[in-house]
Amino acid sequence: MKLIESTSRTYLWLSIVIFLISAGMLIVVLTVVMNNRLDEQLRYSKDVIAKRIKYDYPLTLFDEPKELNEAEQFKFPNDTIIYKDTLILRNIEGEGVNEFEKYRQLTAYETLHSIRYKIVARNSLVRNQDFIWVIVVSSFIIIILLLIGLWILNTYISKKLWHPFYTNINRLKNFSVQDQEPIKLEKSNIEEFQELNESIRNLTQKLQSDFSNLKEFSENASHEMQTPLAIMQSKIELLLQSDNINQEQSEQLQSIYQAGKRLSKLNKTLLLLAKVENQQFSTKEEVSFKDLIEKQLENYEDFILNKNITVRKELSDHIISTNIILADTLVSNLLSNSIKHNINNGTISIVFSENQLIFSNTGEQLRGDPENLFNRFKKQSTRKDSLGLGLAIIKQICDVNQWQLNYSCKDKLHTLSVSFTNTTTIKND
Amino acid sequence: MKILIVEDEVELLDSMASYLKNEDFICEKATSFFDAEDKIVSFKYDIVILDITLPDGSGIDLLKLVKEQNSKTGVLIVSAKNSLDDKLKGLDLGADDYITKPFHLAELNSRVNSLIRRRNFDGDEFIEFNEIRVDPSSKEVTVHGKPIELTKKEYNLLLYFITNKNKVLTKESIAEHLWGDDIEMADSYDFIYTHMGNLRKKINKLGGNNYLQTMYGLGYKFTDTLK
Repeated sequence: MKLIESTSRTYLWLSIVIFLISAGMLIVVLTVVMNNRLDEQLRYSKDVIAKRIKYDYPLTLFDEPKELNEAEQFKFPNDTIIYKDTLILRNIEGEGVNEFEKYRQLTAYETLHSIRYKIVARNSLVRNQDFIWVIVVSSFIIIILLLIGLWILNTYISKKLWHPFYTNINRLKNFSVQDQEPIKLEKSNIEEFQELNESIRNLTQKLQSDFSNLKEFSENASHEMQTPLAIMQSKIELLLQSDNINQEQSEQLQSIYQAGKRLSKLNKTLLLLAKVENQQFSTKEEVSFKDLIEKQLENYEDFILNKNITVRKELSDHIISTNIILADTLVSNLLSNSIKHNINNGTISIVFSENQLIFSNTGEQLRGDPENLFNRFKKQSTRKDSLGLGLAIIKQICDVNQWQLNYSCKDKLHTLSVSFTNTTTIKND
Repeated sequence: MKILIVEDEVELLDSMASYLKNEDFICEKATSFFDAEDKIVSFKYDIVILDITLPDGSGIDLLKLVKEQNSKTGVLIVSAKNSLDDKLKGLDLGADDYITKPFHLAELNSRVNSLIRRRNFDGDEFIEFNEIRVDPSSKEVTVHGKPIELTKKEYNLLLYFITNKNKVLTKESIAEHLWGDDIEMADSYDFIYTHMGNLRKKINKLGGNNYLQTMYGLGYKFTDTLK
């Protein structure tokens, strides 16, 4: 629910409750006030009647006086006034009116000229009630109008005032720490939004600078590591040349040497990843994937023959504009991946078309989650020679080129496909 | 052959010099830009091995200086940066080869030797090891004067061994020499063995000696001196 919707809803409920309470109060208060006024009128009428009786004015306007019975004569003391609401049947012949009407009635007992009188005066309440209803309905209409006005105002505010907010949220969604450009935010006159923008700007700047520092650091660290590694390696190689080392020493040297080699390979690969991430391979040229694939197939010939792998290829002459080093690394990694995880007497099929590059190979069933496949250091095999970075490099290269990388596996046939379009998904059939 | 090695890491410099020195090369060392500049101006070198990241200057400037002094001097660039820009810039300015740290000393030696061969192209330069003779220009190999057919890998292997004769070569260094350092495959060690076996058989067939010695599973040594 949007903020504006949420506040509007609260307003609506509050208005309804307030309206109900105020309508009730209005009815009660108006009724009391009107009755008071009516009672005053009735009292006045009674006084007029009493005076007329007192001074023997005719009472022609009124009903014929009736004799009071004994009981009623002394039921109430003198000057008793009783008010009550009563229903009286109103019957007007010819107009077809035959209904009960509410009346306010005053009953007074008085002794005039030594005769005890009961004076009854009535006034219709119908007009008063109509009046009250008119007030209630009109206040209802006013509230409805108010709500409509509020809604229109809210919509307008949400369009106008919240516009920079929503725009900036969208920009934030599309923000990537890898961007070199600082985030551009829409200006607003609202102080809170200005503060928010300021905070976002500081935060993203910090993020970007931290990220680029990190990248720079990992690249520099890798570089700096190359020299000591080179020293280590060269010293061991020199040591190996000496004639007086026994087998045990030689084996230990070998372990050190191999660990050093692994470290330097890891270092080189991480450096490559960092460089790809840092977009250091941005120069583009026309690349023939067909040539690259043929070249790499020749390079890996021994490995293919060793496992007696059958290679099927379907390569188009299509040219793609990209960085040649990245393209070469991509093909080499895809091919080495499909050889490494292949079985003896397996097959590799390579298809390159205008918009896709597909490598499929036979192999053991994938253990573990395919989601993790492209993560660094997630390896399937416990093989020593596998660094677990091959697929991460493939992914990274696809990412910087905005190519889509898909993995799927069906009947022990693993397929990695690169679509020369955007976004990445992983599918496991 | 006179070689100048310019490298600011003294330990690495010593290793390089000590490995190359055994190969009848006269090695001189320079640890700084200033030092190197001085030596390049004063003496004539056949080969300059140049680290391009020096604390007091750029190796690229030294490269220009070397080429100004004597355009026939071969230059091998050593860099910790495996960046194409540096590589292209170096090669554009007349460097003959490029090697990235960390490297195998045997590989360095092999590169230096191949550089020397390319520099002295005028004479009929053969690489000889007892009865084995390699002609690098035509890539032909003879044993006792009789030619043998070698595959590309076997030829590279033999040449690598002869250039690094009497040295222990690790399997890793051989694999990298044959397949490049991008390859990350355990199987490659098995193939070395296969290629080696084939090479040995072909040489033996023509009456050649078996010079290949296995060193405790560490690697191999191509030598005519007995253990």
